[in-house]
Amino acid sequence: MTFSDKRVVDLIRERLIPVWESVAPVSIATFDLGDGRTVKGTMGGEIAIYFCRPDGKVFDILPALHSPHVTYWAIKNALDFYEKTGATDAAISRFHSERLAEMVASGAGLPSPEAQRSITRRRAKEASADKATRDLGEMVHSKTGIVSGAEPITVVEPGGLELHKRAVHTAMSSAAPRSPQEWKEHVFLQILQEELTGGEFEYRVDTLAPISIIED
Amino acid sequence: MKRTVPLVLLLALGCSRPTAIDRLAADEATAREAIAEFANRGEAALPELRTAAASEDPLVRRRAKTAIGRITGQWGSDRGLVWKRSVEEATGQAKPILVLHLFGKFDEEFC
Repeated sequence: MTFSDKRVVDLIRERLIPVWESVAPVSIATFDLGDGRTVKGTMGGEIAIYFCRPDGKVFDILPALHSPHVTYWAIKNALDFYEKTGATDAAISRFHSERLAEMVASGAGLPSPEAQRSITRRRAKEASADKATRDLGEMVHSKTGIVSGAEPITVVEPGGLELHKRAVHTAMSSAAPRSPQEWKEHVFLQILQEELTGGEFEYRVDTLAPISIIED
Repeated sequence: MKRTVPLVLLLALGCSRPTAIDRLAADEATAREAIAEFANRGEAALPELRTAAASEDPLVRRRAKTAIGRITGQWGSDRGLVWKRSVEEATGQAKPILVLHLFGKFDEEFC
C-alpha cells in the first residue's frame, strides 16, 4: 500500500502536511450466490493526489493509484518544483505549458494499446443491460477490494501515468490556480473517467449474465 | 498483615477490570467503548494499538486498526503519519500540502 511505504511516508511526514478528503462514498457490491455463499467487493476506487501551496492552491496533480516508487518520485518532483519556484501562479502555468509542449513534441502520453484495451473493456461494461452485470464487471476490471477471508485483498490495475500526466499538463497550463475541491470534477470525470457516486448494493445472482462473467 | 489485605484487594480490583486491549476482543458494544477510549488517548495509544494490530485474533486486529484510523486518519496505519481531514485545517502553515482525494473514508476499512 502506497501510504504505508516507508520512503513515501517519511517524505510526506518530513516535508508536507497530509490531508485526505472523501469525494464520494465507496461503492460496495454484495452478490448473493445462494446456499449462504456471497461475493463482496468494492468497485472503482480511483484516487487523486494534489500538491498544494500552503494557501491550498494546487500546483500539480497525480491522478490514479500508482506504485510506491512512482508516487515517491511524483512527490519528490513536486517538492523540488515548489522549493525552486515557490509555485507562483506564473511558475505553475509555465511548468505545465513546457511539459505539455515536450510531451506533444515526443508523442508521449497518447493511449498505449493496453490503455486502449482497458478503455474498450470499460465501454463494453457500460453498455451492459443490467446494473448487477455492470457492477460485477467493474469489480473484475478495476481496482478492487475482495473480501475472501479475514483480510481484504486489493487488486490494482496499472494506471496510465503518461496519459494522465498529459491530461494534467493540458488542464493546468491554462487554468488559474484552484483548490483540490475545484479540480475534483475535472480530475475524476474527465481524466479518470469515474463517476463521483457510491453506496452499497446487494444483488441476487439469479440471472445468467453476471454468472457468465464469473465463469469467464 | 495490615499491609497485606489492602494489597490483595488492590490486586483483585486490578484483575477484575480488563484492559482496553482485552476489551477489543469482547462484544461489539464493549469493543466500541474501548475504541473510543483509545481515540481519546490520541497518539500516545498508538504503540499499544500497533501491537494489538498484529494480534493472532482477526477481530482484535480489525478493531485495533479501526482505533488507529480514528487517531491517525488512516485505517490500520503503522508508519506514524497523521492526516488532517480538510484542506482548511492545513492551510496557512509553512509547509506545502498533500491532498488525497478518495472514495470512502481513509480511516475506515473498505476505503
